[in-house]
Amino acid sequence: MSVNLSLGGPAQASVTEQGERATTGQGQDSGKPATSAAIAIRLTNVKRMFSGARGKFTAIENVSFEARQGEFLTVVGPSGCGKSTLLTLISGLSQPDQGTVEVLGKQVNGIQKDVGFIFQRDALLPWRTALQNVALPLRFRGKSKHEAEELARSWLARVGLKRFEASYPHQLSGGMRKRVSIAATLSYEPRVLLMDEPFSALDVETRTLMENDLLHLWDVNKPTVVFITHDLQEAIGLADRVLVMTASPGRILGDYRVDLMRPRELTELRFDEKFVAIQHSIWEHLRAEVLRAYEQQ
Amino acid sequence: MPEVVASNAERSRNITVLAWRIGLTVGFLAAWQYMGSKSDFWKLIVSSPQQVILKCFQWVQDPVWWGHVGTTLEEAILGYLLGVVVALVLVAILAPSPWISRFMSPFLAAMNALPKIALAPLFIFWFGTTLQSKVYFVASLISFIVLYGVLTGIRTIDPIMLANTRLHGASKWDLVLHVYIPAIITWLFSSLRLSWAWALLAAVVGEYLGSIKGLGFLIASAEQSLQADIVIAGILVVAIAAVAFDRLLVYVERPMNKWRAF
Repeated sequence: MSVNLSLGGPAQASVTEQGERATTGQGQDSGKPATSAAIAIRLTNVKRMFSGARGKFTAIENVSFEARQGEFLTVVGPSGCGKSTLLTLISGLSQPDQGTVEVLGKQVNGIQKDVGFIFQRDALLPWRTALQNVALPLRFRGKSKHEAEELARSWLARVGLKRFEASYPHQLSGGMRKRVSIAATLSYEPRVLLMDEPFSALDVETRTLMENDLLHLWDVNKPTVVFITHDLQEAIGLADRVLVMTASPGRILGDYRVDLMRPRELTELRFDEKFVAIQHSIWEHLRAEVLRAYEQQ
Repeated sequence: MPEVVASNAERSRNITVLAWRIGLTVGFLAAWQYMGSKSDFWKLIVSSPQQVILKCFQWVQDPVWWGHVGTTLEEAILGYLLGVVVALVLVAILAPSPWISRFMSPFLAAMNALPKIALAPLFIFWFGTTLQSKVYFVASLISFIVLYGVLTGIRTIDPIMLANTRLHGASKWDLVLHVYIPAIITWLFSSLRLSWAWALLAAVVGEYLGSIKGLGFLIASAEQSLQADIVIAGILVVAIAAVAFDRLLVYVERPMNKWRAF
């Protein structure tokens, strides 16, 4: 029973170094140098500020980390710590005020075709059927109508919505709409997949099932995933690595390797001793930050 | 079976409502008829349903009257089309540029706040008692209704939906086609419906203030000669034209709204 955790020190410690330390001696990646080719996402000293009604406020500061290709990374932190800001920066929806963001070897300066983004809220077009919603990104990428619809059909079938092709979003449940969003994003096979608390609005049972499904879908093409959540169990269950962020302004507090076997069965995993141990040690670290964030409110 | 019971209860409620509506209408017409027959004075100022209907029948057979109707409809329709086109051009200029929108917003708000019906005399000063003056007056009124309606529609678009569509690879044109236009359709139609009633109203007011033909002219001259039946019949005809076009728009819009929950 060995729990391979590299506990991050105080926030000032070099996170990248911790990540790499954690990587060495792990599974198939062991011993492989972290060449730039194998790095899918790299953030270096990133700072992002917003100007609001009460003046300027720093969302995230001094954030550096790397994600390797095919890695499933989850980010946890107290609410309002700038987790979502990370994703808008990686996706190119916004630009950092300081530092650099690189995705697939290129500095980000706008939206990239190889990146998929799944939002917390519903983002489907309400005037399009499930099938049309999934086919649209493929049409935008120049596929013919026929080709796009064929592919969309197969993706809807893969997420278990074959019977709902002709349904409009308002006719689907929250979980089904989320699955349509996932199908729409995965259909163009992005190499980087960003997910912003995608399951937080779902009930607990649906959520666990969808996390399981997500892992199966991820396993096919193994995109690099950055998955934001405030749920530590979800974070550990899905991830190869968990990043823990501090309360506002968000910085990276810790970087943990999750050394659990894949494929995982999430419905069972919650009772696994190793899982519980990992959860315990991360929580020890996170607790202080949660309390600090709570006091700030 | 509870469902059947519910629908029965609902049906009987609907019948009651309908009965009340018919009862009220009949009661109103009877009271009106009674008032109109009380004395010559009352007859002069309120006329009676019987006379109004009689007037309508005479009109329908009278080609001169159809000429008046044609004039009013021409002004309303031309002004309406011009107003809608102007509004959509303004939307195309204002919507894509936050800077121009911000710059223009106080001017638009000020113009929208004007009591625009009161501008009718100005249009008559400028363009005379011609077709033009009415067309421009109608257009000036409804372009604001449509402009405001559509701009509101654009403001209510969910930014997450826009971001998501962009991330899915949509070009600017794709965004217009797949997000902006479908999102504003409902707003566009509701402002089109609202503004048609205003277009007729503006045409009639324009004629009323200065013209030699049209329903507004008929009403104005009937007012001079104290013919209440013509005034009321004229109003009735305008109302019928408003409702007919409104129904047509509802009919056109329906298939575009099938994605909504009903």
